[in-house]
Amino acid sequence: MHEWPLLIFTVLIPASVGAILFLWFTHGNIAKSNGDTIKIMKIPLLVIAILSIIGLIGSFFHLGYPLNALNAIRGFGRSWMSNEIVATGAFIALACLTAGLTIVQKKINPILMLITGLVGVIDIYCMATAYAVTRVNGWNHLNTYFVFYGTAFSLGPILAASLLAPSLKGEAIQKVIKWAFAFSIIGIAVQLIGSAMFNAYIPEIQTISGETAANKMVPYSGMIGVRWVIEIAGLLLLAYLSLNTKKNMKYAFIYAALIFFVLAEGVSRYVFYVLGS
Amino acid sequence: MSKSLFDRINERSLSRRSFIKWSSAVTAPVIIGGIASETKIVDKVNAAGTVKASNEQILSTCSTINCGGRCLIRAHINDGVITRLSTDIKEDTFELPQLRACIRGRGYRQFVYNPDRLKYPMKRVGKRGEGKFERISWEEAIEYIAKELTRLTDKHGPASRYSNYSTGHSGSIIGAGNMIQKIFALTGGYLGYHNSYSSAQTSTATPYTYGTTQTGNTLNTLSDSKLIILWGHNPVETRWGVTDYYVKKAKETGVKVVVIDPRQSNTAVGLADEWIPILPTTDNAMMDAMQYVIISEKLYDKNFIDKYCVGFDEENMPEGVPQGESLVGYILGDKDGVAKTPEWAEKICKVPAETIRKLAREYATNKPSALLQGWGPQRQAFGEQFVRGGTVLAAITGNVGIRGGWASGSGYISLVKTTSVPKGTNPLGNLTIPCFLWTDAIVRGTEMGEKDGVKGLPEGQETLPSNIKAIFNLAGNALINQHSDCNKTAEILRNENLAELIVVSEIFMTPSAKFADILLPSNTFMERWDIGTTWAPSQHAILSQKCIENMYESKSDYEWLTMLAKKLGIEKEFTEGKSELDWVKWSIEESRKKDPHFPTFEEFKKQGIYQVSLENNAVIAFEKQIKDPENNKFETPSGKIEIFSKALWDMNNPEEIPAIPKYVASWEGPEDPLTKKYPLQLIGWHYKRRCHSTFDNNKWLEEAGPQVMWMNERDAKQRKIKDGERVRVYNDRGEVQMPVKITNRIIPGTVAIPQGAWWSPDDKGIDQRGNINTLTSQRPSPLAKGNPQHTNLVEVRKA
Amino acid sequence: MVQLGFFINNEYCNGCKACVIACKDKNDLEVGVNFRRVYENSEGDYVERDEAFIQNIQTFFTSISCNHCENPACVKGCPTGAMHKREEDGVVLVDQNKCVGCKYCIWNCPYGGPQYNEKIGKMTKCDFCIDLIDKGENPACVGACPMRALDYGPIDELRKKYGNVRDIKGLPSSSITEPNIVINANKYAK
Repeated sequence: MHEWPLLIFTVLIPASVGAILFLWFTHGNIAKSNGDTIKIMKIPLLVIAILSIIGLIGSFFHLGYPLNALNAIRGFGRSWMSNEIVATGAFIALACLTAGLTIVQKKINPILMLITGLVGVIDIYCMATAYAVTRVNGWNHLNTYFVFYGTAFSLGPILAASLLAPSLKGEAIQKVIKWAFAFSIIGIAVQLIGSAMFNAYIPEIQTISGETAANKMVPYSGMIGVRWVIEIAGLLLLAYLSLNTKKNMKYAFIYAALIFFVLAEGVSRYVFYVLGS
Repeated sequence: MSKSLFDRINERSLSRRSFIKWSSAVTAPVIIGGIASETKIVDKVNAAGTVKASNEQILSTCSTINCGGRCLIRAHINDGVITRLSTDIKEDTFELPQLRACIRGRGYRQFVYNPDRLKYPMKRVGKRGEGKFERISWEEAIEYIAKELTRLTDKHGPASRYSNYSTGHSGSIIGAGNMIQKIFALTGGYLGYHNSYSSAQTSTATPYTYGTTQTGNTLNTLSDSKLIILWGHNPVETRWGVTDYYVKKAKETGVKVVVIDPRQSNTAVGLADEWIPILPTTDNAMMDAMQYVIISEKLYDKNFIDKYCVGFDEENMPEGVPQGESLVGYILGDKDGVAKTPEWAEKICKVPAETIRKLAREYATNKPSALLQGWGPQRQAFGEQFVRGGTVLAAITGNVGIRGGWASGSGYISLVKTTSVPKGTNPLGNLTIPCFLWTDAIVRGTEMGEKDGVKGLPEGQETLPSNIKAIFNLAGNALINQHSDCNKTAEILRNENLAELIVVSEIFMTPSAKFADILLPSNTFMERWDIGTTWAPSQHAILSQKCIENMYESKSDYEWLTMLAKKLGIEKEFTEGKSELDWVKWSIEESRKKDPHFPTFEEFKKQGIYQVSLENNAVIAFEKQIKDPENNKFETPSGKIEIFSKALWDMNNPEEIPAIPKYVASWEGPEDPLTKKYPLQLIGWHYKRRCHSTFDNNKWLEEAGPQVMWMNERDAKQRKIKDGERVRVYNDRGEVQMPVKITNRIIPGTVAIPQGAWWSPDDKGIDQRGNINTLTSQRPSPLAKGNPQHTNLVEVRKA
Repeated sequence: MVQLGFFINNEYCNGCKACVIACKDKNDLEVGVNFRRVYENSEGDYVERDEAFIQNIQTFFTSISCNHCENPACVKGCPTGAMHKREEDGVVLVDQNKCVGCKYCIWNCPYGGPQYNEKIGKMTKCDFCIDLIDKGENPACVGACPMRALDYGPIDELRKKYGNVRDIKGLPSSSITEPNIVINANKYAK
């Protein structure tokens, strides 16, 4: 596996999308319970924009000749890879705009946040399709969409929650964590469904090398197991936090959960790229 | 001796311009990298009609490595650097097919421009075999060799001087081995050798049937066969002239092709209608059973046998031989009570009885049929039997001397005769040892006599006058790599009291080179003149033109041997006033005296190749003897085809050297009790990506044909070995560690390591590269004293 | 406009790889980069009856470069338009001025045609030796095959001469990209 740039790219972008959507989802609540929404949302929005830019920059390291990078949008409409790049560009531009306007205008624009999130959802679709339409055994399956959206739902909310946490207190944070927990369940469920479907399916071999996903995964079964253990550990941590009735929130646990989800999604993506290597 | 040292010296000693030129070629891919390559690729994209004018020069040449292919190579040269190779492009016809290069020929640039080439003469500084050297000048090297040679000759006599058999860059009409022998001959004589590592058993045994080794036909006759059996014959990989092409042509006309081989070789895959896997060393069990079917079902050609053969049944035996010794007697079990039925054979060779029966019937009843024997199965403990068995099958079915048939046996035939540079006469007469026994001659030469295969001993002398003391191992890797039992050989060579001088000329730091006292950098065929021919059946002579100047400080063997001759005061006698190019021109003129069609030098230069057309031209071995037996006798003692050889009978060693071909259960064969300890048979094969051990360090060819051991799925499963894993392969002689390829293309119970990998022992002496000779034995075959390379028992475990 | 294509006589391919190395020499390719490749396909097993082995081992080799497809997946997927199909002869080429080295074509091609060049950071591939064809020579691989098992020419002519087979065992379905090849299938590849 040598697709580290793409790993970073395809973890950070969906995570950012999920995080923006989560911010949009929770901002009303936050506004109700805490006064200074802008102060609370400013940093998360900024960080998300930066993370998505890091994701994009990361992807540049995948290119053999980055000087030609602008050419990569020439295929818009024809090539799903171009579509992905254009959609990613749009998402990042909107994310930056959202963050920028929040800082400059000192005003939260929920509609812009929603639009950014929805463009992100489209971006993830393009991203997944770019892999799903290839000949790589194991990618050309619905599971690819579940994997990418799964990242958005499982990692995005905890990412956003972690960014919100320092400026939230008491019940507000409890609520955010609860929602993050709920979304993560969805995110993980989505991935489990994809994974289950994938396992029950024998993908048609479309390459001359005749390599099958099943064969390629043989040496990685342990790694796949560890990934789920980490992911579930993260989930349990979130469950503990959301059911915790004590007043003082353990921030360290939130960040620990974030690290667990980052690790789990990272390993998941690692295994994904093994298929293509 | 590190690479950076080489680099530094290069930069100092070479002119800047030529260094840049070379290094751009050496760091192949030549132009790839950076902007140049980009332009090249972009240029191509926009190539529509705008081909850049270049001053490219194309010279045709051929390798003079001991390669069966000897293809036509066209070197495309720009500014003194070979930038591309192409091959024969003339019109391609059945009578005059193109002589296309194989994978090895196509990879020559990685050979010539390999950055690991030896660049200057060196002298050993460490213990022998350690591979530690210091740089010396050519003058120093020649001085040292001359001095030592003179000292050893004075002390031990000329018979202590030996030029080792070599199959590397050994040259063709100007062979390095011949040329050092010429120097020896001019300075008192030498111990010569007979046989080869390739064909000792067949070259020795075939004449016991036919009186000659010239038993091959021109290949165009294969299309007139009804059935072609390639027994242990893998011309696709070994490269056997254009045999594969003509078998394909025959197949296209509907001729059935059967390949018998423990491995489903590339020949079997590409050309066979049927592949019959067989256990190594048991070929004669199958041959005996085929003869049983032919005899018991009366499918033999009685008229032919009566007219041309001796020893078939009790009626046509030579005088003085007791009853029951004829072929029929043996096959039907008159004496030993064992009928050599297909059921009997099946247990030994693992080929189903009905397969044997069917093939015997097909071969005997579809006349003419051609049984072509490869040389692999004769490189076994009792390889002589394989050769004789094949010739007897051909004889009793009357497939000898007819178009579409094939006499079997060694199969030599030569339509093109080149003339070698004469090497003079050895003052010691024809004193030779079997080339395989040179290590014995180092240790116990003075005990070796006729029973060890020594030939040419003067009257009254029972044994060799001296052990070998001075070894010239020029252009070959048989000093250790290609000889049997590397560990034993290394031990002998390491003892500096035994062989006192070892001179090696090489292109790379091969295992043999590491054992040199003086190591000389050889140039390659691209840098020298010669004339090459293809292996049997040879239909071509190719001018091996010098295409580029000597690289680094390298010289051709002829060039430095001339320096040595000068030092020894015999330059005039040695060169006869001729350079390599002069000798090539001389050779051409000599050949033209025998064959007026042989091209002149100028013509040869222009067309690159002299190829005899097969249009209305078929040479069939023994055609005369069969058509007109009265006036054309076979060159055997009886004048007939000797199924039973009285000469062999008189050797009085019926167990090992029977007078009729028999299955002899081989030591380290499937019936050896040693199978309890080492249950797997091990064979080698000539791998497409190497010519013997040459090109083992060619990275393109390593990619195309990695060094892996073949193992059957069952054997692997029993040992819990997975495809691609590294395994230990070992027996009492040594151990190899290498990756394994699990494939059912090899019969269960047998593993195969492609021969020629460079022996690379670690500090425990375990070879890490996969050299089969770490595991092979120095025990020679009984009659020819040939190498038994495919007779080994081993065990394999996960590494 | 013609469309160039390859003929592959799968029946006589013995896996010698002269085509592979001839191509490497022509194009100066590093280890790991192979514009033409040879694939081994082997199956079957042994049954032990009494003491003999009965087997049905079936092996064949397939030599494949770029098939200069009718619907090249590499071209469709290429984000930059560097991968393109030439009008005049249908040869699929990489425009090095555009290529960004994203390797997406590798994932799209069923045949392993596109080959990434680490040194220049761009994609390279079989260009049908159009420079040699211009000079009236054979593509390097075609002229190299000791078995004369490769041929090339306008695909219509190849089809007239050799038939229409392009789906054999071991190859992905031709419906994916409509490869411009004609194959004489090995008996074990049918």
